[in-house]
Amino acid sequence: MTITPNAALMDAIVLSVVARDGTYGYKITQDIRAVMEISESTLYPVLRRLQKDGCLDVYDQEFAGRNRRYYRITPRGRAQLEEVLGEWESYKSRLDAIFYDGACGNGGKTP
Amino acid sequence: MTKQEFMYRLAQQLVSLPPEERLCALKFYDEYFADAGEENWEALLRDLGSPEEVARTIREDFAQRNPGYEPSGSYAYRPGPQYRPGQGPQTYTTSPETYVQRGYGPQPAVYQKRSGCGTVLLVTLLILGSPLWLVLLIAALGLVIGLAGALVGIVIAAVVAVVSLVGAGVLCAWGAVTAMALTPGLRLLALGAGLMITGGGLLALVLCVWLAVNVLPPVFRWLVDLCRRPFQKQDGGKM
Repeated sequence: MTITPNAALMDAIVLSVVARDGTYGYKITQDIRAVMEISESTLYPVLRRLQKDGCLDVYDQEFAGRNRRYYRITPRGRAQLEEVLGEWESYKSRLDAIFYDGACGNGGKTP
Repeated sequence: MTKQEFMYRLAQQLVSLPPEERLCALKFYDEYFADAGEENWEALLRDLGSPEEVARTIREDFAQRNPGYEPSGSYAYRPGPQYRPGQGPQTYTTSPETYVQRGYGPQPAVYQKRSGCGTVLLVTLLILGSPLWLVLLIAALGLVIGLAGALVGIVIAAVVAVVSLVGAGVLCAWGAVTAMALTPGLRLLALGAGLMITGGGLLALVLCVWLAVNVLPPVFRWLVDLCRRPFQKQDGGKM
């Protein structure tokens, strides 16, 4: 895979997965791994940073006789996600213009 | 590599982190293995790679959030200005003891900070470990004690000499005045000689006092400094 997300995009991906439903570390990684190649060790530092930044909240719940740590998005995390998504939309449409409309270097000859 | 070994090595690599950070990471990976299911551990361990590498990313992330911390794996952690231990909503249902019981130790009993104790220990180890060091150390100690002894001896000798000089001068002058069988000329000569000797002695006394006040303290300070230097070495020193 030649296209890899940068830190900001990775944060947004994790926030997005957590936003869908309260979820736990292993599941988050597997959900992301279903659509892109990431190492199993990628997630922890990202989760920890988002948690420390106040974008994620954690709570422990019993599962199968042990404790499992669940993550949920905070209002602050939601705001950050919205911001990155806005940037992503504009970035994507600009790239799409280059990829599909031939808008690159045509000297202002707009279709 | 087994899960147990992975967790143990990971724990070892995270000793430099504050206990809270360290436990959080260990708890995460412990849960991660549990959620993956034992049948997937082999693939999981392959994908995770070396625990050292995993620990490095954790330490680097912590370092980014806490400027006072060096992610190099150095054992001394000094909390940076942004690090507050009470921060965050963590509630650990898995206590540190559980991790030790499960064999993910070693749990650092005391946070290792660089201190004089470490240096003293190192010096002791060096002394015990190498006879050459012992011999050199004793020789150096002997040299310093010898120098100090010589200095003390010189001071005592000077004091005795000056006191005798003054004493001799006074006696001579006293003798010149009180002696019975002396011509007036000889009496005057002896008196003059006695006073001259006394004056010379007093001059020497002044010189000695000046030396004692101005020269001795710096020399002793230098000697004490010489003795203390091996114990003050910080990083990168040979001792």
